[in-house]
Formats: sequence, C-alpha cells, structure tokens
Amino acid sequence: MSLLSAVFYSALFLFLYATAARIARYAKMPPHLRWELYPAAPEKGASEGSYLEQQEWWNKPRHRSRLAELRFQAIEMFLFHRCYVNNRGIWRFTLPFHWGLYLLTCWLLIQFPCSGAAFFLETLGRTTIFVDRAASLARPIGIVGLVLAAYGCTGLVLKRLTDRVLRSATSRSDFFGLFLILGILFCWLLSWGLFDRSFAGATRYVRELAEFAPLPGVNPFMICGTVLFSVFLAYMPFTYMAHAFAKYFIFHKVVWQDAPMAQGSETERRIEQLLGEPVGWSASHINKGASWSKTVSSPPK
Amino acid sequence: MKEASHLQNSLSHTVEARDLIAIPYLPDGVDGKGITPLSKEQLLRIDCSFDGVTALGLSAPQSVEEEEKLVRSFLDGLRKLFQPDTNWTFLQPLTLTLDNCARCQTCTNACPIYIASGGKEIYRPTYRADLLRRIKQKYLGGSRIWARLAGNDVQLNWTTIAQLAESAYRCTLCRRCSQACPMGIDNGLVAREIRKLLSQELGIAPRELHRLGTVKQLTVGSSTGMNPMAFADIKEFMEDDLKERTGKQIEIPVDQQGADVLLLHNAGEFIAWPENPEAFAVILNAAGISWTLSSRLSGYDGVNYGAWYDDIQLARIAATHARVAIGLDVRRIVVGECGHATKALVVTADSLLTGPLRINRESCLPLLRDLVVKDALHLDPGRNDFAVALHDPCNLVRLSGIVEPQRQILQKVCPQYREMTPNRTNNYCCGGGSGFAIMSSANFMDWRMKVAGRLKVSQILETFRDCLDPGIKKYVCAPCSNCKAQIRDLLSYYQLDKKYNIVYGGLAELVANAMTDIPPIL
Repeated sequence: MSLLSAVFYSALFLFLYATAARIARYAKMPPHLRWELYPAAPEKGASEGSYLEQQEWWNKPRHRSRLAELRFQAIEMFLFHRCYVNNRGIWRFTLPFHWGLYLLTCWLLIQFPCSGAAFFLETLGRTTIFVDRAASLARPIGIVGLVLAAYGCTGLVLKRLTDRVLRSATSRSDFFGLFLILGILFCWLLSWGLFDRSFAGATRYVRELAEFAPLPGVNPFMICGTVLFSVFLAYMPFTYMAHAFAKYFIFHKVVWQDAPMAQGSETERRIEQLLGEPVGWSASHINKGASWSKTVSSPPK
Repeated sequence: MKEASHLQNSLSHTVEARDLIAIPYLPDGVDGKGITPLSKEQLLRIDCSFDGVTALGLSAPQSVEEEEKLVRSFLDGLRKLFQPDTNWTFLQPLTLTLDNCARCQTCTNACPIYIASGGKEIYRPTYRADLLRRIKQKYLGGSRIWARLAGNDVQLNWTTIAQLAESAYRCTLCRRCSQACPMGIDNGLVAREIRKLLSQELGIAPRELHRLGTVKQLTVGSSTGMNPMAFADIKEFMEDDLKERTGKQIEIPVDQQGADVLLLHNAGEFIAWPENPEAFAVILNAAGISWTLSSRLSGYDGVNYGAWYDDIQLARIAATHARVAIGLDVRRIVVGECGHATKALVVTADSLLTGPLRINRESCLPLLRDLVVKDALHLDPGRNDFAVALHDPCNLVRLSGIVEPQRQILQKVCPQYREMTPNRTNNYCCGGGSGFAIMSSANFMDWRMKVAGRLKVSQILETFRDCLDPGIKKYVCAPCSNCKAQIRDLLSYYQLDKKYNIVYGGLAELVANAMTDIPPIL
C-alpha cells in the first residue's frame, strides 16, 4: 500500500468511526418533551393538521404515512424545496452542489464494487471485460458530478463572500470547510482537464486504491485532491457538514414525533426514571437536589 | 458578535423608525415616531445595549467580584443545558440544532421580526444561536486555541450575558424559522433554552412571566392575581350578565364532580373578555354537554407561562392542572381559546404527565366544530354578516397542528369569512407570542407594537383592504387569549379601531352570536 492509500484509508476509518460516534451520541440522548412542528409529513390526509383536530382523539385511530415521509424527504434531498421558497439565491448553487456530490458518490459506489469484482475475476483468471465496461459507462456520471459540484461550491463561496447577511453569519471555520471542498473539486477538475480527459485515469486510480496497490503514475493534482479529500473526511464528522445523519433525528425524533406518550410504554418508564432523578438547577424557585417529581409537586419558594 | 462583549449601553443597534418596513393602508400620522428611548435615570440602572429596548430590566453588577460570580453561574448553567441529567427535557432537540446549522440564512427570510425590522442583523434567528454556539465552543469546548483559529473571539462578560439575555426576548418562539429551514434547525428553541438557562440557574426572567406569572398562578391561583374567592365573584357576575343579555338563567357549573369536561380557560378571559367564557357557557349548556369549571387553586387558570422560559414551572403548572381534573373525576380536560395553554398541556407537557397524572386533554376547537357542523346548535349565520378575518395562533396551528376546525366553524357561522395571507401553518405571529402580549415594562411595549406586531398589522389591513371604510364593521377572529391581547393593543396603538372600525374577539362569541335561542350577544 502506498503512503497516499494509507492516508486515505486512515481518514476513511476516522470518518466512519466519528460519524458512528456522532449518531450514537444522538441516539443515546434521553427522551425529550414534545416539540412538534406542522405540517408533519407522516400525517396522512390533505390537511396540514394533526390528530388533535379530532375530538376525543384518544379514541380515534391515527394514520401515519411512510410514503408521505419519503416523498417529503425526496423533495428536500433532490429539489431543496424549502431553500427554493425561502432563499432562492443560495438555492441556485446549493442544488447543483449537492447533485454533484450525489453523482460523485454514485460514481464511487459503482467503481469500488467493479474494482473488487475485477480483482476477484483476475485472480480466477477470468475476463474482466464486462466489469470494465460497467466501470467505464459510469464515467459520465463522475464527470458531470465533478463539474456540477465545482460550479455549485464556487457559487456558494462567492455568495458567502459577497452577500452582506451571509458574510456576517459565516465564521472562519465555515469558510475553511467550503474552501477545503472547493480545493478538492478544483484539484480533481484540473486532474481531469489536464491529464485525464477520458476519466480512465480516475477509474484506474480508484481501482488501485481499492486493491491497496502502489498507485504508480498518479498526477500531482490527483494526489493533492486525495490528500485534501482525506483531510475533509477526517474533519467532516465534527462539523455541521454531517447534517445528513442528523436530519433523521431532527425530523423523526423531534418535529414529526406527532404522537402522544403511550401509557405503559418504554418512553413512559424512562421518563418516570428521569423524574426520580435530582434536579440540578440552582435558582431559588427550584428545590435543588430534590427529585423532579418532588420539585414539581411543591410550590416555588 | 465580537462587539457584544464590548458595548455597554452604547446603543449601536437601536431600532430606528426609518428602517422598519412600511405598513400599507395605515391611517395618516399613526406610525411616525420610533421606539421611546429609556430615560436618563433608566439608562443608569438598566442595560439596554442590545437594541435600546429592555424586556428584563437587567442592572449591571456593582463590582468585579459580582461580575465574575455572574459569569461563573452562567457557565454552570450553560454546562447544565448540555447534560442529560439536568436538561433531559430538551437536550436532543437543542444539540441537534446547535450542531447542524449551516448558517445559510434561509430562516431569516421567514422571521417576522427580522422582516419587520427592515433586516436588522441582531434579529436574525441565527444571531443568538451563533453567540451561544461561540460561547459554548470557547468556554466549554476544551480548546481556546482552536476557538481562536476558528475566528471565535467572543468574550464572556456582563455585557455579553446581558445582550444574549435580551436577545432571547426578541423572539416570539413562533418557529417559522424552523419550518423554513431545509434541515429543520430550530432557532426558536435556542431562544427558549437561553431563557431557561437564565431562569433555572440565575433566576433571571421577566417579572410578568415569573414573579407575576407562574409564581402567582401557583401560590394565589391565577397569573391575574385572581384568588378562588374572586373567581367565585366573577362567576356570579357572568351569570348575572348572561341573564341581563339573554333573558335566560344560564348556569355556569363549578366543581361538578364526575362531569364529562373540565373547561380550562385562560383566566385573562374572565377579567378582560368575560363574553368568551359566557359564550362557552351558552354553547355547552345548549348542546347538553356535561361540563364544569374549577375553583381550585390554578384550576380556573389554564395559562402555563413556563412553556416559554422554565421547564420546572411548566411541569408544576401542568401537574397542577392534571391533579385538579383528577380530583374532580372528570373524563377530559378541554382547554379554552388559548394557544400556549393548549400547546403546553396537550402537547409539550404530555411526557411529564405519567402514571396517575395521565388524563385525556384536548383543545376546545374540535368540540366546538363538531357541535356546529353536526347541527347540535340552532344557528343563523346572518347574525354574523360582517367581514371576519381569521388570525391563526402559532401555538394552535403551527405548533399543535389544529388548523381546520376553526375554519369549518367560521365557514358555517360567518358568511363573510376571509383568510389572511399567508395562513394556516404559514401564518405570521401576532407579535405577542412567548409572553410578549403581557410584557409592557419600560419601552418594551413600543418594540412589541412597532416591530414584533408589524407584519400582523400589515396582514390585517391587507385582508380588509377592500372594506376599510369605518362604516363597515370588521372583526379579527383570534381564538387565543394572548393573541387577542396583542391584537387589541395593535388596533389601539395604530388607531385601527377608531379610524377603520376594526374590532377583535374570539371564536366562541361568533358561534354564540349566531345561536337563535338567545338574542345576539355581539
């Protein structure tokens, strides 16, 4: 394995570990008080409302629609509808940027299994012509993804530099993340433009990475892009750029919770446990040290 | 944001009248002046460095030691905000918001206060969240060097705390920002959690919400100061008033054991708008519903200001309401026309009412809708033949999902019913949310009228633009006590009541007014 491969795989390992840790941190947090927001996509029906629109709702069946949830998520993921409605200036760049990332990810997800299959077939002494063909057919996806992502990222950076409101709201670390991505994309664009117009080099590069091969003849922009990408992989789980995973919790555990606490449920059991814990706040109207239950049943001092 | 630490009463972000957005169709001469500045004497005592306005009336520490103690307490509170044993109530939603905001500012275009102010930077929904984020990163994040590299140079001192505190009371918690956000980030929640840190750790909260609000409700019986004896007097007054107005003896039951419904009004209704609880009495009696009010401590006041600033007070009041209902052995609690009271008891405190405190709770709107739509009442919509516009209370609509029942009622009893734009879950806040409707100290009322309520005034005038003639009666229907208070103040402040004959009221009054078995009550 080359040094470059080692850097990449170390960063990938860190990315996977840190992302898993972040997801676990959110998942392990205690049950919270209800904090819904409507319209909640899973609520079936044409109205924007909730089950609370029914009198004696506790006696009525509640219908949730998984399809409606998926439809909402698909519209947001692929069309960025909320951004389109409320922030058209950003939408013009964030849409192609994210589409570019999706296409690049698709390209990588095709390359890695093709590489693994090719390695396996070669070991068996079989032809790899079909696997190689599949990998090469995916090249336009990679090229289009690269161009879209670079265009979108450039637009986002320029928008944040030139828009008064965005400029004042964007911190140094926010700019660092954006410039890092821009650096990666431009390195890869230059690698494609100057050394690898057919994208065959990139395809071969991913294959050699997947096979832990020594990576001979890689151009300097590809090296630079890979190093920057490795930095990005290691850095991303510690920033807001890992929001894709957080969205599951935000929507499914908070704003779309949209259900009363069931009596006798695990949630009720956990909350009763929490109500038995001491209150740690110090203001004078709170009995610090007494349990939540005791504090709640006593008047303020 | 760096400035937050260094500007004490320098008033560099004051709200100027010329910056505010124009309100269409306003009568001439009613919007000329800006926000009244604090007097010299007030400026000596009170910090208003955030924007020249004060909601909290905070005074600067008198010594360096006092300031250091305050900063330490603040950091203790900040730590507790992110620990599962102290803030289990909102840890997950708060952490998700602070960790994942991309600062894209999509939320700013949805914030009515930001829009009304003409785009004032300090009213951006992300402003206070970013300040809190930076403080947390620098002082709880572990590495000050990394904080500096990241461009985080906020200093935590008295001025920063005072400005953060005031900024938390420039948000009505309407959560329109969260609705607009592609990721569901909730900057309204951040404002609430900052308020919670201040109240539960430092004991800082507006007196209208705490000492004269939740504490009074729990000790005297009502945030209005009404004790059980005064409530009994008001109940008698309402029955006498109903007899005078309708010619009928309409009883208002109190403490009826085993009734189907415990009706929980915002106690402000009894004092400021008794026609609303009277209307409920007429409607429920005519429909043959078994119902009761309660005279027990806090049992006649459905408000729960804790929903806006303090989880302990929220829990105390919700538990008290549940205990009152269980003590009366009623089948369900029905919350009257009050948005935050509905949301607090039916939604937010749902998880807190475990075991024996579990009792069925719902809004009054589905009950009223079913009575109207299923013809349980004899109604003549011709009695409400004037322009009626529906205001959508945030707590009922966007935060609890109760959207259509009030519309179904108005479509049946008001032939000239019309919608505001935007409406339903896209509504604009009245500007009185999160306690603002009852906060009028110093110059906060001015800010509430000129900034917080500005978009709502614009909306009301736009909705009635074709009938602004003062000879034509126009009614803003607000099925929420806090919204009514704010709209009352807005109509008076901008002289829309006198100049355009725009009045306001609740929903039950319109239903009762349409009932043919009594004379019109409006």
